Amino acid sequence: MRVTTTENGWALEAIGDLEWLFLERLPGTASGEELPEEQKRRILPDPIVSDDEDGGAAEEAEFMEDWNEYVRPELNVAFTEARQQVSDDLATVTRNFSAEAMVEVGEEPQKNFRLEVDGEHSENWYSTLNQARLLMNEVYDLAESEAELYAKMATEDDDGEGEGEEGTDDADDIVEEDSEPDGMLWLLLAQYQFYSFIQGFLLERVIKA
Amino acid sequence: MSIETEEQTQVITETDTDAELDQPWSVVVYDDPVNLMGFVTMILRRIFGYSEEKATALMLEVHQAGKSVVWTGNREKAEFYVQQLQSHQLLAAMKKN
Repeated sequence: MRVTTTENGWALEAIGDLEWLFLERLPGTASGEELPEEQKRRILPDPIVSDDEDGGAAEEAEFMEDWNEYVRPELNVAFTEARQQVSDDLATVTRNFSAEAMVEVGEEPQKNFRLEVDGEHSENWYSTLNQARLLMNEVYDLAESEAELYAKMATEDDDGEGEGEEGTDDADDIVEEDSEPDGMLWLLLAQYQFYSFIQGFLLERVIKA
Repeated sequence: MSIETEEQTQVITETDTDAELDQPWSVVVYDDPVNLMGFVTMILRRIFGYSEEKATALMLEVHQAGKSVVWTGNREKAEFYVQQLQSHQLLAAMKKN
């Protein structure tokens, strides 16, 4: 997949099957539609903190009532509109399954899915990608898994200098296997990092400070 | 008699509320492992009009210390800023000083 800027915004080109799956899942993942309320609370956190353990919260009851009545719904509407914008944009994807449309990206031929996004929609995309990542992290603790994965890869790189030596301890192998993320976690991490990649592009190349 | 008492009580309550409104409030941004550092910096610049240097310093404080007081002032504005920060999904809250 390639991501490029265009005259009117930006585009995802040569989108592969898995990448398209992640894109299709984006609005649903960002809405947290099947998540319990306490996990969705990260998107709409409490607006006030108090060090006063015996009454600070009670004093603010009226404020919280107003916040819940006016501000949270307003924020919720903005987040919902952002997701809807992304859904609408995804519906405009160009799909071409003809042999002529197959393009080479790296070693794998990709279906030529192309999605062009108006630059004015970029903040809604960023918001939706962020909602999705926040909720994925809330449920699966992916940021920690990602950090562990990077740490493990770094360790393996260091160990790799001594490659070629035979006789790895069996017990070490078992620990290694147990510490591998399972298939579902790999897929979730890939989805999480895919969203992060697009956010990084938008931040660097599209969204203006 | 009872009406006068209620009025007096009401006046006292309003005075307390006014005093509370004048107390400085802090807007605090908390670290989270999801928001990209560049994004946090950009939002701090946008909302508070901070320079790149100041916004970056605050972002780094959030990242390294776990939180940062990004603004201090009256309650009404603090509420507004928290709403703005939360609209960009930053983990932000206000706190009475």
